Amino acid sequence: MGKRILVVDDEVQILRALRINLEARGYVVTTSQGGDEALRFVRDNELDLVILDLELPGTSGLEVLKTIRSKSEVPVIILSARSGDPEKMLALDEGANDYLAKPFGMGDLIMRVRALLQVNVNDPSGLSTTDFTLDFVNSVATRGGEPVELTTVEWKILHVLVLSGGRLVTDRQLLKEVFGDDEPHDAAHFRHHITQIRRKLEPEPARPRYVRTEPGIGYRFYGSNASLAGQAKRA
Amino acid sequence: MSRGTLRVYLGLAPGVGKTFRMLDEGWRRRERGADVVIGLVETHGRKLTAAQIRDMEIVPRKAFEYRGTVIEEMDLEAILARNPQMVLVDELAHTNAPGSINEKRWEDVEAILEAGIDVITTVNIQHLESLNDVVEKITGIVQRETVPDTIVRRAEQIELVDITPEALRRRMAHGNIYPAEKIDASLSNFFRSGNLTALRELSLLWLADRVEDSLKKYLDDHDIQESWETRERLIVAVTGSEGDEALLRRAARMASRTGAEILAVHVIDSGALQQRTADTTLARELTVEFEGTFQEIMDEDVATALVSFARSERGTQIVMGSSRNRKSIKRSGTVEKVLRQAHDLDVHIIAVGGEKPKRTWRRRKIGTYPWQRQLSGIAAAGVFLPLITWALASVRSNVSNSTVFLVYLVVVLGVASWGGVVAGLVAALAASALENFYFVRPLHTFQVARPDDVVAIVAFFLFAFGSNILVNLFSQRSSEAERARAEAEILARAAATVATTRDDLVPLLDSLRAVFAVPTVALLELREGEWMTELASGEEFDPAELNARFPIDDEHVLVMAGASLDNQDRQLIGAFVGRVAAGIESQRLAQESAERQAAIETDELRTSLLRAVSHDLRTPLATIEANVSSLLQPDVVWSASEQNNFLQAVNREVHRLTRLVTNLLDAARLESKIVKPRVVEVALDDLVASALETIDSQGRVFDIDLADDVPLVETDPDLAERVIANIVSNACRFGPPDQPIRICGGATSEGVELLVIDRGPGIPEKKRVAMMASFQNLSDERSGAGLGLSVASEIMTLLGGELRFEDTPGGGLTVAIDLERED
Repeated sequence: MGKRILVVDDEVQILRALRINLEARGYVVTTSQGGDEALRFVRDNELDLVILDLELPGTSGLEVLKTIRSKSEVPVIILSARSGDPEKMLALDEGANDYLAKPFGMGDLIMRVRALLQVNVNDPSGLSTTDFTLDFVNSVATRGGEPVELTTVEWKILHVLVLSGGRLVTDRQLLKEVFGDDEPHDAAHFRHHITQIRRKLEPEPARPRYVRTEPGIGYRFYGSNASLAGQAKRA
Repeated sequence: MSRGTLRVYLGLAPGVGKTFRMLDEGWRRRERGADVVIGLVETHGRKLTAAQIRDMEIVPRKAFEYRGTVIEEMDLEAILARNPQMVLVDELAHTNAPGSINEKRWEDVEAILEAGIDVITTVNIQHLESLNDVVEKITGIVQRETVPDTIVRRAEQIELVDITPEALRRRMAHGNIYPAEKIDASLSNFFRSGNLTALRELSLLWLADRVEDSLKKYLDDHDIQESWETRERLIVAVTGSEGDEALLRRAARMASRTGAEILAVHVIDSGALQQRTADTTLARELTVEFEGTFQEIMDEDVATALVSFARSERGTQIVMGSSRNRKSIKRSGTVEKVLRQAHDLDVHIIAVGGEKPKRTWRRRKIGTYPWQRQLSGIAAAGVFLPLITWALASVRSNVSNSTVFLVYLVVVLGVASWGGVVAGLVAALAASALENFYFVRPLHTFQVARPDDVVAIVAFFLFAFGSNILVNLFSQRSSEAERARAEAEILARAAATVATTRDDLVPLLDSLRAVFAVPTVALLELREGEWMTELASGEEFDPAELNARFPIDDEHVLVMAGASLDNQDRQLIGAFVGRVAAGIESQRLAQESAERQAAIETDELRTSLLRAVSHDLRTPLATIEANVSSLLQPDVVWSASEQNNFLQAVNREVHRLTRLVTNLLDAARLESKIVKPRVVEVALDDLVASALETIDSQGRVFDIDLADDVPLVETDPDLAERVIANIVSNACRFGPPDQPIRICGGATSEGVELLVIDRGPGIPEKKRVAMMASFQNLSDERSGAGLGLSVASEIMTLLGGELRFEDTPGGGLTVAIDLERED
């Protein structure tokens, strides 16, 4: 049986499009147009993922998210109305796993869904893309066949990002996973590592294809198997 | 060739029947054999009007193409070529389409008249230039199309097409004026009954050429700018006696009939020997109950003070009581005096029963000295005169009588200058008697032996008394002079104060406080029904205790604590209050005009927005519709690649629409100032990369060159991304396709600078400022660019940065985006 996904949005056309797309990929989809109905469904059913619009009539999306988080760790993807929506940040703080601003391309959504639904990603021993290979076991990296030197911190960062398999990793999460809780870190210094990784691995460092940033929010790694759908050409 | 004659049908609003009347008159002339043609008639879809045209010859309109739409205008050249005897031209105030011979239709009409052709035309009152402001105030609707008054005034005949507001509203409701869907809105907006009445009166006034002198009154009458001066004010003279209640109640009834305001005043008689403590508590309470104001003034001449107070407070009527008790001579005297002085004021004398005032007192005109001082002067005379008499008597053999007289004279003058006229008179009499008794033979009697001694004593008395009066006059004059000097000073200061802000008024309050030696002077403002202290000078105070209130306007009042003011003081304060009122008024006007300006700008913005956006919205929608409907055609089976082509096109246009709508929403949000930046530290290369992901690069190559040492920037990442995306998007649109767009950035001394460099046509320097204005487009091909730029520039303002435009060396435009760096 496929993974069960609840989609909450007040727009019937969006629900329809999402249902067709998700069902075509083998998921079991339930749709809901209101927050209260969605909460009832979450209470009574086992779910693997929730796609939640923030702008709902009645109980707001943020309220729904808080209630879900109070009793469940089910992954939640937030749909927000505008890219600059401050609600988006609130939702991420409240425990949403990822977000997508409307209007969005279906490829972007499917990529996020897949990333979040991966069963226990095994600790990757390595990764191979068209541009570079990474061997985490032996700490060997090549680019176009040529060996590339990566520092310890760079290996750590890449490991966290590749492990996330296309999920959004917030700045805070990444820093915590790489340096641990106690280490005081300098944001500019940390940024320098990202720049270096791009220089060493990306074919076009100024327009990164693999190590992408959502400015002010976090990072996302494109290139693992799960994220291939997201590689569909973006506008 | 003589100039043609002009006949104007003047209407108070659209739909009164001007066009109909014009056609009617045209037919009347034509039936009398005149060669009448229609230059232009707007029927506005009104059937009756259209029917009235019948088969009258119409000179075809001339079509202009303007921004993709075809506009038809009156064909001036064709009319002149046709050369009829008379032309009917509707809507004199109309503005012609760009490209016409004249900008305004009235200029066309002038040309026709010059050609010797008679013209009948129509115009609405709101289009007359001189009435533009007033009409805007009445209706709240801005009229852009105006016609100079002189053009209409020059008409040989102006006929007012009059209709009662009720009839017009009825016609409106029946759908005779506008199509059904517009009726409700129109009836509640422009066609409000009050508006129409006002416009009708205005039309009549304009026709009578009396607008100038009536305008102020007109505005006042219609509450357009409510002014306190226009309200009737009843000045009620209370006395602190029991008659006050009857007097005030009667006045309140009079006031309620005319909607007048009550101003109760109690004149304290400063000339009364006995200082009066009349009980005005009841009168105060009643005044408050009748929503009037209570004031107390002090003057030695009650009647004059009352009338002068009434004038300075712009009172229109004086209400005073008349006791039937004829013993109260003083009261009736006051009434008569008031009646004599109040030429232009109505005086109402109310019989207020026979009770005596609570206290009667003798009134004596004794100068301006307080009674305590006068008594002490007399006491001084009682001490010094016997003392001098004793001293002189003991040395009598050694001094002549003339010395004695001179010494007495010194004492009398001393007493007079301290104690005033009365004390001086008492001293002079006593001194004369003492001289006679102790020094004039026979001694120790009041008899005088020698006639020349009689003359000497009488002369002494006259001299002493005369000097006494002169001394008093002198001291009175000098205190008046002192006061005049102080007044002049405060007035000069008041006049020199340019009250651009409220705080500018503080020095004026300070000087008022100093001049009147009161603990507090304050300016109160009425806010939400309560008097709040706006400005104050001096000690803390309880607004309820301030006993002198001077209204400035409906919402401001000047209050002083701790002083009983006489009439002269009130006049000075009146001048001051006038100054404060002018200051407040000018501040208010400045604010209002700023608000109105903002409203006009918003209006213009909306118009240009609609123009710019309708094109940009329609193009992608058209493409999408064409492609999608192709896919949905049942009669063709498209190949997979054909389907893909259609879908690619739709996808592209959807992104284009998304960008436009995002910009529109941003513009709206920025306009309404609800955007609050969320400033965090981000890397410039991340901002650029993520901005580039959101735009349609149209296959353009980017040459990105960001220095290694660029510090993190402190900004709102979403907003900054929008700025970069909009700027790069424009560069893609205008740069030549074969040239890369360079994006480079680095640290500057103040922050971080990002340059977006294109090799396009560039923008001339003088157009750059205009380009930043919202929704400004450089040309039609560039439509949409303006929106993106203006959003970018607004965002930069919000972020505290700047957008700069420079020439790219060798041609093209360079846009510099200044961002703040982390500390």
